[in-house]
Amino acid sequence: MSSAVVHDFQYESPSHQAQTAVAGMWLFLATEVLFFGGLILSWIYSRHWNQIGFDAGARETKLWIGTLNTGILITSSFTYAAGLTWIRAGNTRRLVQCLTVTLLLGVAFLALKFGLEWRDDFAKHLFPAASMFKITGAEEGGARLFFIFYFISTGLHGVHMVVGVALLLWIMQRARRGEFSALYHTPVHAVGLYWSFVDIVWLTLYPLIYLVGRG
Amino acid sequence: MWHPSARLLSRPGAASGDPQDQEQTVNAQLTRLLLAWLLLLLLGGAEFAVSFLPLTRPLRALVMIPGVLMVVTVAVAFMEVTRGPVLVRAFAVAAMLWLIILLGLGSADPLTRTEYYVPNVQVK
Repeated sequence: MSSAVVHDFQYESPSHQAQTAVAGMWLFLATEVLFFGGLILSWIYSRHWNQIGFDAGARETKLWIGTLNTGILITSSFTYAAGLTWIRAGNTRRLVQCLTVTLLLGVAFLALKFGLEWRDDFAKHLFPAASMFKITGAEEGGARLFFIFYFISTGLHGVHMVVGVALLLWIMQRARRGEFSALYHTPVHAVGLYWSFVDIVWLTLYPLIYLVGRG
Repeated sequence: MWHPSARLLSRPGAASGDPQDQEQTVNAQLTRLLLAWLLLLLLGGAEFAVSFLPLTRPLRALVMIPGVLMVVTVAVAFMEVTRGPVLVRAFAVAAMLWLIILLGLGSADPLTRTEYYVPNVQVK
């Protein structure tokens, strides 16, 4: 659909339609900010009352995986934005190349997080509902709370990543069919906003989970 | 009316399809993105290093400062929030406003309380 001149009836022009779609994505992301805001508030509140336990929990996380995943997501946002730049110039081949790299980085993030880190956490009895929780004594209650936050927040972020990967595949398929051009690439732009937002969520979770409790 | 392609198309040569001008435009934008990526890596490194400073527990939240700058960098460089139409900026500002209200009001009690009620204890 090279819809440089085609638009749905309710819009006055193609640019009006594109603007509405992008604004709609921003509005959705605004609701997501509040969704994750509640999680961050729970971290502030729980850590305030359980600082020793939270710090003990944070010391059990795998810093190298969290740090590597941060670099991976930052790079994936960069490659996606580069792809958007290329399609704005009408270069579909470069767009697909950039999206392929972005997809591989996204899959690598998920593999490290759920294939390696979570599996290791379960093996080390760090799941908060485990009967033989690894951390005992005065720190146990706070550490269990920390790992409740850890599993829920990284799990929800992971769900968003999986949705992002599915959207990337959809965009790549449409790009390969030649549906995007310099004049029409609104879905590429909208999915890029989502992907960068998921990156932003991780940039917020990374210090809360891995860094603040160390030192 | 704003359009995602408006910036590119508004540049001389881009609309006319002049390959040389278009290449310059793309290169300039890719350079800007690359610089943003390098800045993000730098801020990430700073955040990582600061986390090992011997800060007291309440001060460890300061580790978040480079993280906040990274969020701003992604929003400006990759999401182009400052280049969008007024509506987009309004949504972004509204999201931040409500997040501040949520976190501010939600954490006001635990961060300011100085007296703690202990149930079932009579103070003489």
